[in-house]
Amino acid sequence: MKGLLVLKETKDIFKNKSLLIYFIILFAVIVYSFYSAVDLYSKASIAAINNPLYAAGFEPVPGVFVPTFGGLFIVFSLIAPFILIRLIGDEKTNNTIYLLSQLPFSLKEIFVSKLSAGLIFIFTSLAAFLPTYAIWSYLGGHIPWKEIVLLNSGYFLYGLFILSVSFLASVLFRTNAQASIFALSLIILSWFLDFGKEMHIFSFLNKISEWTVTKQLKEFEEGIFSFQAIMYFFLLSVFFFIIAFLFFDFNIRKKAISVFITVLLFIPLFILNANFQYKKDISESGKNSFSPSQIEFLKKLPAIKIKVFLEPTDSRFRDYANDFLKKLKMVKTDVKLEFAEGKELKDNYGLFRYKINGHTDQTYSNSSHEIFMVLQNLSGIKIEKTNDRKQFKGYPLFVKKRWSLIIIVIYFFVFPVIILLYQIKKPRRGKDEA
Amino acid sequence: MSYLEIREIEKSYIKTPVLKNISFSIPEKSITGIIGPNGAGKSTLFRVIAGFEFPDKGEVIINQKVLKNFNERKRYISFMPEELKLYPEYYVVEFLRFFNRANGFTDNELLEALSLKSVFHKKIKHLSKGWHQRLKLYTALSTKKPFIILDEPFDGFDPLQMKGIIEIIKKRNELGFSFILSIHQLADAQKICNYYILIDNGSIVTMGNLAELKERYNCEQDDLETIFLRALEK
Repeated sequence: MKGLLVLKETKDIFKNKSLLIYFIILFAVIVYSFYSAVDLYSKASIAAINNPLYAAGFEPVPGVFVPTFGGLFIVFSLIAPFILIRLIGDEKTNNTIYLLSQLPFSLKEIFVSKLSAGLIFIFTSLAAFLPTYAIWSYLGGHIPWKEIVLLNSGYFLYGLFILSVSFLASVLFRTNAQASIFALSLIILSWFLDFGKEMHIFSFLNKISEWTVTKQLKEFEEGIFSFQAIMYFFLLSVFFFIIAFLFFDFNIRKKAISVFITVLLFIPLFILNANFQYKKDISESGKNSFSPSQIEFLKKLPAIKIKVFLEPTDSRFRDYANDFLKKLKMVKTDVKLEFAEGKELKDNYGLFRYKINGHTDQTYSNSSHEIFMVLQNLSGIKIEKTNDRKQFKGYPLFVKKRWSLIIIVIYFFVFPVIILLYQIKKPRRGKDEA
Repeated sequence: MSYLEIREIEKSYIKTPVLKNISFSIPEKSITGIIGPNGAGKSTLFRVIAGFEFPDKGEVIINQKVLKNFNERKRYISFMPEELKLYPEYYVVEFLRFFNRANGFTDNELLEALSLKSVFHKKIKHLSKGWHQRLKLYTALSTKKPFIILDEPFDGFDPLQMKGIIEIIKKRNELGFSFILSIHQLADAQKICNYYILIDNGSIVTMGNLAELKERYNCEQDDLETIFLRALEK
C-alpha cells in the first residue's frame, strides 16, 4: 500500500513537465562546467607533467568535480524548490489532499511517501553526474572515490535541506508562488550571510555565517569528513520536516504549541552538535591537515591562545586562516582566537601572538613552518619526524582524445529522450483496465 | 444503522464568525440537503464535519461516540469538496487504477452507471466539466463508509445528466448510505432530498422534511423556494 503511494508521488514528480526543463538546465550546466573544468585542467597540466613539484597541485576533485557540482548547487538552490513544492502544493491547491487523505493512508504515510519521492528526485539528480566519472576515467583521469563519495554525500544532504525547506514552504503558504518565494528567500539568505561574513559587517553576522548551509557544504567539497556538518544538515532538515508535518496534519489542533515544543527540543540538539567536533581529512593529498608528526605534536600541547594583530578582512589573515588555523582546529578544539583592537592593533599591526601555559611568543610570519618553531619553543616539546606520509604526487592530465561529442550525445540526446519518452508514455490498455 | 449528530458547532476565521451554534442530526438513510446562499457557511460546515478543520466549539457524534479528529471521522465519512480538481496530468484509467487499488476494490457497477469507461484514455485535464464531475462523484460514491458528503454534486451537469446522477445517488441511498448534499438550486434539491436544512449567515434558519416545512410556513404548494423565502423573511 505504501509502495503504491510512493509510486504515485514519484510519478507526480517525474511526469511533471517542469521536470524536463529542470533536467535540461541541469544537463546544460553539467556539460558546460565539466567541459570547462576538464579543458582548464588539461591546459594547466601541460606544464606540470614533467614537473613533480607543480604536479602535486593537481587533484581531480577540486580541479574538475567540485566545479562540475557547482552547477548542481545552483540548480538545487534555484530550480529544485519549484518542483519539490508542487509535491504538497498541488495537492493543496487542487484539494486532492482531501481525496488522498480519505483513502486508507494515514497522513504520516502520505507525508513520508512525498518525502521518499523527493529523495528519489535528489538521487536522480546526483545520478546525472555518473557519466562524468566514466568520461573522466576514459580520458585517463584518476578518480579518488572516497572524495567523490564525500562530495556526493554533501550534495545529497544539501538536497535534503532544499527538500525540507520546500515542504515547509508548501505547507505554510496557500499558493505555490508564495511558497516558492519563501523557499528561495530562505535558501538565498545563506548566500547573503556568507557574503556578509566576507565583508565583516557585523561580528554577529560572522558568528551566524559559520552555520550557513553553504559554509557547511564547503567541508564536503574540500574533502573533510565532518560529523558536525553531517549532523547539522540532518538536524536542520529533520527540524523543517517536523514543522512541515505539524502544519500538514489535520489532526493536530494546537499547531503553535506543537511547533514551540519542537523548537525547544531541537535547540539543545543544535547546541550539542555545535560543541561536538569530529573531522577527518580524507583528501588524497592531505591538503586539509598537518603531517602525522605535526598532529602528534599538537595533540601533546595544552590549550593555545592566539592574538591576531590584523584586520579580519586582511588577506594575510585569510591566508593564515586557510593554511594554518583551519588545520589547527581539526586537531585541537581548545584554540582561542582573539583580534586586537584600537591602539594596540595599530602599534603591532601584522603580529601573531601565541600563549601556551602562561608563556608568550610572537611572530610576524603566517607560514606553518615558522609557527611550529614558535610553538615548539613555547612548549619545550619537539616534533618527532616519524611515519610522515609520502609527498602527494598529483594527477596532472593532458587530454589528447576527442570527447566533446560523447558528452553532447549523452546529455543533450540520450538523457532528454529517456525522460521525454517516460513523460509521454500512455497507460496500457486492457480488459479490466481500472 | 449509523446515526450522525452535529452539536453546537461554532467556527470563526480571525474574528469573523462563519458558523454559529450549528446543531442538527442526520436521520437514518436520509438524503439531507444543506441549502443556503453563497457564503452561508456550507462548505466550511462540511470541512468541519469531515474533520479537515477544527471548530472553535462543538462536537461531531456518530453512533453516540464523539469523534474528535479527522482520523476518527474518516472511517465513517466520505467527502467530496466542491473545489476538487483531480490530477490533471493523469489519464482517467491511470487515476482510477491508483484510486481503486488504494481503496481496495473496484466498483464496476458505479463505473458503468457513470459511463466512465468511455473516457478511460483521456487525460483528466482534457475532460469537460461534467465528466470531471462524474469522476469526482466516483471517488466519493465508491466507498463503504456510511455517510457521504457531496458539496455541489450537480455542478456541470445538464438536466438529463443530472437525472442519471440523481438515480445513482437514490440507489446508493436505498443500499443504506446517508447523504448530506449542498445544492445551489432549490428545484434540484427538491428532486433528490428528503430532509432540508436552511443555513444563512452561518446559522440554521430552519430544518425538516417537506411536509414539516410546508406546515411550519403555511405553504400549500410543494415549492421549496417559497418556503425558504418565507423562512428567511421570518
